[in-house]
Amino acid sequence: MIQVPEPKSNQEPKRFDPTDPGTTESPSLALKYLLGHLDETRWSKILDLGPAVGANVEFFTQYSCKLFIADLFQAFGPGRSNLELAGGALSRRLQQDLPSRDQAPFDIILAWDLLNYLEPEEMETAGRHLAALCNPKGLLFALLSNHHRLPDRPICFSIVDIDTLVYDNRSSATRPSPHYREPDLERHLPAFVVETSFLLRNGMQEYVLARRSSP
Amino acid sequence: MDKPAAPRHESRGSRAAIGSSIQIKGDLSGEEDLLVEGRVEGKINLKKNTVTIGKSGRVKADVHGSSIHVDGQVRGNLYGEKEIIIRASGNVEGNLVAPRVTLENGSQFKGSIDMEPRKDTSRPAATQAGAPAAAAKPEAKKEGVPGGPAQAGQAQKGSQNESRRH
Repeated sequence: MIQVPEPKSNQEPKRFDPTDPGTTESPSLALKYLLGHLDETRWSKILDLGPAVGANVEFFTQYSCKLFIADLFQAFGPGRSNLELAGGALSRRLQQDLPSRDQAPFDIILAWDLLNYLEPEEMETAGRHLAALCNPKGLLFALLSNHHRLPDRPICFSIVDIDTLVYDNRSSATRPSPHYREPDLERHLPAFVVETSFLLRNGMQEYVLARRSSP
Repeated sequence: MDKPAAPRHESRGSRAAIGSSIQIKGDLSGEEDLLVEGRVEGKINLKKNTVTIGKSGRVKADVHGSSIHVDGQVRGNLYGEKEIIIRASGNVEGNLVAPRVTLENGSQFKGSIDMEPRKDTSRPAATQAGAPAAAAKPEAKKEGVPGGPAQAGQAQKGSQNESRRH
């Protein structure tokens, strides 16, 4: 009897797909860059636009900082109506959810992948509010997707360490990606300028934007 | 309830409870632990004791305690002499001030947290590689990268460096 050997498993590791539900660990290059700009001689302020994540709070306990969690992602999840956020409604929502100016200025603003979920005019509105809260030397961190589709709500990001993030997709539904690029950021966020960016192997691109100096 | 009567039990571990049908408007202070399952509007001042907001607790007040544990809902600022723990069912809008703050997965929080650097962990230099010891590491699958382990990002836009500066 001839025994046919089992074919060797030579499968490549599965490529990252942001629409796969669950958690995926991924390198981050921007995080180290951002934190390297914190002034160690003074108390820093960090604004996190994402939801409260225990690991992130734990991570930032190593820094002398005040962390403000705005949890804006709820407003941009599935089922939201553009009409609901149109006109002045988005501004009112941002005024309600973002910290007041007396709690500013912030040295770092963590937008995570929120910009992927904003229409261009929404990005402009959000950009104006964020610029008003940002330190003149402050930095804005954003992740843009090069994938064709996205989860239908922003991904929840956990900081594992200064080089690593965990992407936690809690949705199985998807939506098309807007495919924003650097020129889109500079067009729709005129108060910021792209300081550096990092293309990750997982198809996501990390952007660090600096508050543009007033002319 | 501006000034509660002296507690009957002075021993450690005694705990007063506000039941789920109780509503209180005013300030609470005392020297025993407190469990809130009802509604409180005002101020809770138990700096030497543990304050627990139970699952059915609804508190619209600033809360001062030694340890503060939140399973229910709080709208107000929390001041923990030792720690604040917001559990998975907890929902807090306010500012947290404590040497140690823990947000359990699933908890909802909006507001600010004053971070005091831990005395037992040295702050890692942000420019150095290496994982800070304090960061929690959730279970996650590693990003699959054919042809090599997932380690670092790639250079972009024709640059051979990892980053491009303007």
